[in-house]
Amino acid sequence: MSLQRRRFLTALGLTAGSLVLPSLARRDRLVRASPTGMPKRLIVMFTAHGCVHSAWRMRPNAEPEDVDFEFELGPLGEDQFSTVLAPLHRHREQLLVVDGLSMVSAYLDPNAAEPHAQGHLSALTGSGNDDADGEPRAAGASIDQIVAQHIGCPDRLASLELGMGLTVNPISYSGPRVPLPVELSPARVWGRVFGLSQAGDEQLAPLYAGQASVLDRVDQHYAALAPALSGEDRLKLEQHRELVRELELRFAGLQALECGAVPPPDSGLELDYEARHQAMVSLLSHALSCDATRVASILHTTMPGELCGLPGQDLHNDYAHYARSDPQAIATMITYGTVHANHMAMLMDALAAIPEGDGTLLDNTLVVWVSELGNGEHAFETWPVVIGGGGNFTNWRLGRYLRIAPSTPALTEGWQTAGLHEADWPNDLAGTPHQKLLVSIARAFGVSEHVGLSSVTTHDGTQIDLTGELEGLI
Amino acid sequence: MELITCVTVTHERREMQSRRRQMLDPIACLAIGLAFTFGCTQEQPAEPEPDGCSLGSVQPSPLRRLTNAQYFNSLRDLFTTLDGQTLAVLEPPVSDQLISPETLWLPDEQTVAGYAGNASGQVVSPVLVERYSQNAIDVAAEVGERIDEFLDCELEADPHGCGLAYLEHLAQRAWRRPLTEDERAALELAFIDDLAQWSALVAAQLGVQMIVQSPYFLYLPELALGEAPEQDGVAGCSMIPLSNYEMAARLSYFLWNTTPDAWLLDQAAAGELDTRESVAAVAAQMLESPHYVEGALTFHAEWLRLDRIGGYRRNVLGSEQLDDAVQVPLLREQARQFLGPIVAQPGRQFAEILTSTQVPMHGAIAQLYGVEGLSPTEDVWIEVELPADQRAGVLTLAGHLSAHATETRANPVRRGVFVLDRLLCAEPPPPPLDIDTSVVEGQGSDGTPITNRERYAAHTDNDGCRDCHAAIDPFGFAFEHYNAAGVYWTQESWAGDDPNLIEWLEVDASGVLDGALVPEPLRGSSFANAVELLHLLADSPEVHACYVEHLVRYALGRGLGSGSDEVDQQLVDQLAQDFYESGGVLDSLVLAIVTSEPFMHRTEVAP
Repeated sequence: MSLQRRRFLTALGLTAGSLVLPSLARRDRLVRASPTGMPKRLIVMFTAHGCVHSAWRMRPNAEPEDVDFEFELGPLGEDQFSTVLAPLHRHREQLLVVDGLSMVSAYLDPNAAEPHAQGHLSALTGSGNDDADGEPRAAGASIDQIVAQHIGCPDRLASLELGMGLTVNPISYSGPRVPLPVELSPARVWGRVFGLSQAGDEQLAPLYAGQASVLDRVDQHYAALAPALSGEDRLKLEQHRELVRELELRFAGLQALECGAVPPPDSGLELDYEARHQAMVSLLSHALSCDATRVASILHTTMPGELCGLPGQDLHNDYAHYARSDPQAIATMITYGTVHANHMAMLMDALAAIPEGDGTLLDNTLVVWVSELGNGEHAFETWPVVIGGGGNFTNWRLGRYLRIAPSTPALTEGWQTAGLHEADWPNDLAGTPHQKLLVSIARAFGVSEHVGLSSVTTHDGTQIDLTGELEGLI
Repeated sequence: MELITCVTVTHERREMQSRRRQMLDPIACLAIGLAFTFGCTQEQPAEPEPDGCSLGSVQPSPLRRLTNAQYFNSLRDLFTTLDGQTLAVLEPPVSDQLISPETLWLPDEQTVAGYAGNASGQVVSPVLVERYSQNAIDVAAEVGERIDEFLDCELEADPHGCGLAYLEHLAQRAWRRPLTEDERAALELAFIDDLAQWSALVAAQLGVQMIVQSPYFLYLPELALGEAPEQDGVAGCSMIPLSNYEMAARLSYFLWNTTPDAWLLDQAAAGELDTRESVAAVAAQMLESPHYVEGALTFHAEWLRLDRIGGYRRNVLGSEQLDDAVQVPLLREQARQFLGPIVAQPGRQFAEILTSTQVPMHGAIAQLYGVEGLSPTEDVWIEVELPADQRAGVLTLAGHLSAHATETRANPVRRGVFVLDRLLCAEPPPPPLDIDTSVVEGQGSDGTPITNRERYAAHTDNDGCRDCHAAIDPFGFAFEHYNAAGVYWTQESWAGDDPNLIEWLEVDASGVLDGALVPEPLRGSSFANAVELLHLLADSPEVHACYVEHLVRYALGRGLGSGSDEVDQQLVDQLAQDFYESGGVLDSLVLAIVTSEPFMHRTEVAP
């Protein structure tokens, strides 16, 4: 096995000391590209506490809550946008706002964790909680990882998991119960992406050059040890071995990366929030444009109070938790949403500033902004979705606001009464299951499998179907 | 040539060991039978039954990977220079905030209930594998730069005698056992390959890179690799004694949180880790090592969730503020310094953790405790005696109190859940998803001031919440004398719309323990405040038992089998009883755990 592999690597010009870009990987890269020949990319922006739906949604003609409708965003002035989404106005031709999804399965999960953990593990996976010795874990892979495994290049980073605050609950899962760690430091992100291609120390060159054969030897240890173990242990080692083998390819590919000079950020966590976010966005757009990776998530945990003009205040416990009831909390959480809309707008600015083919990097990058919850009071209803870019390959009609009225059978008494959705939503119906969006994203990247749970049962025994694509995107 | 102190197990020695083990075996079995636990009975049947070495069988021990701390500690100890220096790339970062890409790092771990060593929570990610690789290169780079400090032989002049010999020694240390013949041959072959292409120095460096990326280093496989075939497992016995080297590794990572040193590997080589008596003797010596403070602190920091002390600020109306750059890290350090002597010195008692008022103090946090006379800028710790009517043990230190608070207020729910989970092993289930969990506003319906306690009490005063909160709230409210910054107060601040108009409200921290989650013997106990509650808990058999359960889980790196017929549960019950009855002596408990059947055995690997 290992000998065969050696030969394969030799054929690719990937043995020790050689930095030739593997032509096979490049061909593969083109296969997974958009019709324009550029690679497809995905960025998930993930924020906390859902939205204040009344200030997030748009109802230009005072449309009732129980009808489906859509309208073009292009003709709207900034003052006609909702308060929360106003910062995205300049990107309106590239936006698709989806109003009417909910995380029904998260709510009905018989093994549900506390709401924040439950929301984090459900949002991108569409799966339920399958805890590890009591620790909440998603039972399936997340959409970003499913896409990364499909479109990623073997000699590049499959994905980047970026974080903007201390992470308690992971969102990205490479498989059932395998959450991926989140990186908070721009300096470390730089090291992962650009460090190998920009390492200049000649004395160390042999150590890097020799690493390919070192990894090959390490691989042999895994090959010898794994069969001596049983069950989960063997699986664990085989997974580790697979990652070592992937690293062998990636190591060579990242050394050969041609990204121009990307200066390392001179700092890590001591930067303030906005500066750190800017550094992350800059690194990410560089990484995407030179095809160092094609998939990323940016996980925002609760932002510090000063970003909403409340220095020293606890936005999570003292504001988000009253986001439906207390006027000051509502006002603050509207600002909170606006600040994040601005984060998405800045991300789109950065992508749109990089020319690619006939358009920009944004045309080849699908940006999806979702949240752990529907609102700050732990609802799984009114799950806010804003899509940006990706127009070159998704076939989704951008520049639109899409409202899908609630049509899922009533879930429980609690769903209606306990603050789980907006007061003016129809009382007996829930939103469209969020799995459908995950499936649509998968299809846009050529993945044909379903994502997450395929059905869920309400408390009165009604089956809710979670399969199929979200209608109205195309 | 003496490179580093390494263990060399000669062929004869191994044979001796094997013979000795065979001779000792029945004695070992009897010794286990004499134990205070279960296991082989003293009256062995004349014909040993197939499962003769145990009444039950131990739970399978899942394959454990080194925790991040164990990984770094092991690298530190493996790459100590001849004169005792450690590598610069392993120096801890200057602060939590300044993460430099130049020093080694690993991605954050996924913990299970706060424990990084629980195998069921350990997952591998692309970034983890990348970092193992990059860290290996960085270690090899520095070893190369300072090669004369690691070797006292001429590497380029004698690549094999010097370089290869170093790698063989290193591999034995890093993999915590003798090498198999195949491994020795592979190591040599790789070295020769590399020599054909590179200098002897680079060949040695690449060998270092390989050794510390090997699964034999990163994981703790228990397959008696590199050792004489096991003779002492009774045929068909599902419980297999760990080999000497595997015991050395378990002991070392449990007690020291790092790799076995040369002395401990010598004990393994000499077959000193295969009976309860000899393990007890070796472990007793290990408790005297300076490494033991670090090992014991690792458990206690995870048990008490000291990781939560960090990354926040506190801003309490009319009281102290905490900043995240200076004070909060000092609060975590204070908790560690408080715990260090209690958990690592011989003969200290469990109750001290929950009641001691001897507290290390730093000028920059002294004000939180009303301690005067210390300079806030001088970086010195001194031991102070805090008022015994205000503070009692680690849960009344400002670190724990501020970590279980919101930015502005004490959070009695988090504080109460902490006591139930960590001290009583009765973690409440998460709140039902269809319940509104928001806490009522800071003023009553008629605009009159209400206390923090009243706010929280009101929000759980309904049928869906009462079951759990009947248990949670009394524990949480007991700590109402400590605000979000950990300051002791008898009156709490309140303000309406104008934050400058502060009113001061009397604090009520009294309570009666109640609710189905609270162990029966404690229900109905009443207390006036946290100090009384903590003394009550420090003397409770249930709290002792819960501590034992946490420690056994930590020692074994896995969850425990439950139910009264389970070996694990029997062990915990018996240990807990002995622990409580002997006054909660911490080091005695540790010795009892390392000589227990689950710690000294593994299960057979099903092919």
